[in-house]
Amino acid sequence: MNEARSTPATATTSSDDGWRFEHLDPRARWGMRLNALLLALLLFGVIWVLVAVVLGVALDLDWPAATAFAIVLASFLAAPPLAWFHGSARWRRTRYALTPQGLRIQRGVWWRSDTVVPRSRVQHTDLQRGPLDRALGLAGLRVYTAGSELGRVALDGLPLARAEALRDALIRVDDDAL
Amino acid sequence: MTMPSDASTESAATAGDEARLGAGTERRLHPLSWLFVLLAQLRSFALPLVALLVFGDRGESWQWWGLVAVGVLTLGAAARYFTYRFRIDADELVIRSGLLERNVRHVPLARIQSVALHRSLLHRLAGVAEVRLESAVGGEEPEARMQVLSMADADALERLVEYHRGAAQAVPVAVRGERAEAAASNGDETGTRRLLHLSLLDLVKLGLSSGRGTVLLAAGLGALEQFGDEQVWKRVAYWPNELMDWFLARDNYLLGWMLLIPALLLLATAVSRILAIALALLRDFDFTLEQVGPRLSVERGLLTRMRASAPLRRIQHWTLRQNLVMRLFGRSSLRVETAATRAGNEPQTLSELVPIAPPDVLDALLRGWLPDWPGVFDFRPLHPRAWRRMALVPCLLTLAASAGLTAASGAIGLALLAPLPFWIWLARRQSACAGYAVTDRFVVWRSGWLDKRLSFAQIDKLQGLRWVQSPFDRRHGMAGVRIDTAGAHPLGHRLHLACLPEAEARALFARLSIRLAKSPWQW
Repeated sequence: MNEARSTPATATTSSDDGWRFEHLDPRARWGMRLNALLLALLLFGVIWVLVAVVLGVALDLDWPAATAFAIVLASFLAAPPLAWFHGSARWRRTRYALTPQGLRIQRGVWWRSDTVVPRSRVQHTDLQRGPLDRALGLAGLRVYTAGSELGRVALDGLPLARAEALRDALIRVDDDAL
Repeated sequence: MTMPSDASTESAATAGDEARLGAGTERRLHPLSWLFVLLAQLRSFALPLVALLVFGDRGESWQWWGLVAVGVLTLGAAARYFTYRFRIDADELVIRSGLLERNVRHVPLARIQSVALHRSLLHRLAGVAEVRLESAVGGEEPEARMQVLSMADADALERLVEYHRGAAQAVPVAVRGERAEAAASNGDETGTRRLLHLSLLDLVKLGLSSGRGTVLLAAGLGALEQFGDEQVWKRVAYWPNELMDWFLARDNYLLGWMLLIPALLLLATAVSRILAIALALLRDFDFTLEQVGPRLSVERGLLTRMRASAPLRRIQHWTLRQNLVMRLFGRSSLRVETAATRAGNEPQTLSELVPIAPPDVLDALLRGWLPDWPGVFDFRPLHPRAWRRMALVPCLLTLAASAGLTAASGAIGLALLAPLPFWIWLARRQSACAGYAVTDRFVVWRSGWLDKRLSFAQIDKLQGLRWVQSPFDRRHGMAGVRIDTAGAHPLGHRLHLACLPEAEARALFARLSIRLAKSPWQW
């Protein structure tokens, strides 16, 4: 695993419409993997409880306890590698760019999205840093607009300097403060 | 608003205010701040604390726990005081807060819409105020809540915000917008123009076309089930029982059911429509839509008169709707979403602008309000295979239900597959009825087959864009574009352009984002 610690913003790629898209800080991968793991464990837990309820209570089927236990155990053992790959994939698919129009954020492994927050619509910004962010030198940017679904757009796992630069570039309203 | 009449004194005054607030250096809140934070928190704990004091005297440990709780809250309040810092930087307010989860918020002063000062008796005794600064961002919490500032600081902050707002924003947009609207309303600035009034016949039609009665009927039956005793049910079920007995006596059970079920359905429909008419009379009696200069105002109601008004320029999103019954009557309705500020003096939000009216009347109204309203649009169709996506969820659910029933009770579960062709046919109708159009000024999205809805917004008022693609979309070369407006109702007909051909969605996304970036923010 190439976790380039010295170069904060790495692997810029260009998309079809020509803007320079950047990846998040490589260390943000760990957060994404951890999130994926917690989500996977929760999901498997809920699914197996539901399956047990449906099969056992509603349909009154009697499964051999050993088989059921093996399946559940296997799923929980499979969770960490699955989470690892999903977290890595999520990091790879999360890219952002500062374009003349505003902030572009592309994300999503299965359900993909491409969001643009126009510069002229930014109301205010937050730079959020939890203890882990501070230890790693990362920061999360939150951009607020007057919109509803996109009233708050978050971009976590940025190198601190990059997050500050993005914020300063987005918040300048003197040009279009009409 | 402070009109800069004399530029030099004005800037001197702002310089004074800036100096008062630290001018670029970080400041803390008022030293008594922790006390007010603590008191505000204690208010939400007041009931448990009182309970502790009253009932807690048997075991002494309870009181100790209460003391510990108060101690923790005090520490929290003190921590908040020591970690909350703000500074005025040229033209923005910067707030640093948080102990573990640290936050730095930058709010441009020109974007602050309202400054609210809250002073209780205790605040006044201490000579302080709680200041709430709100921008146009929606939500419950104000963008900055300063708990608390000394009165002099609060006043300085208020003046500074007013100054920046006046210099940067409010004058041009408000005046320009209202002038344009005044021109649109034939220069009639002060006169009240009645645009629409609903007659009793209109209200009956409105009731007949509304589904509210069904909801009311269901709620009524639910309440009866919950609270009614057996006598009530016996009375309700008297005639159906008699009828079934009659058929049963003649050994014709099946015919009885075949008559009874449609009869009951007919009865339920009739009752729900009568309820809906009554509701329409109650809610919308003497409905009047008026325009006073640039403001629209609606007054309605039989017992409780409701009045809601909003400036035309505050309307962000429009939805024209025509369901099956409305189409039989040749009527449509118009709903709007407005961006209301919480601290503003809008008594009620304006949503049902026109409950029912002939389409040509609505068209004339829209032309009056929106000078560029073209009336007809050149709608682009969805992706040719869009129906597959629309049929996907109902078909999967049907298959799952059928599989479940088959597993549980055998081949009879296969009967549940019967609606599959219907879902596919319905999805084809729906995808044929949906479409989108984009002009220089408007984005339009229509959908629905029996219940047709057409939503549009002015491009200048859009807040953000999102291009979306599900795995299904990707396999079929589709994508969607979601267009965000302010003050959106979560259950409304959103501008979620779905199932577009992928290339078209990409092009639309690129075109709209450039168009949006060029248009100034309006409020």
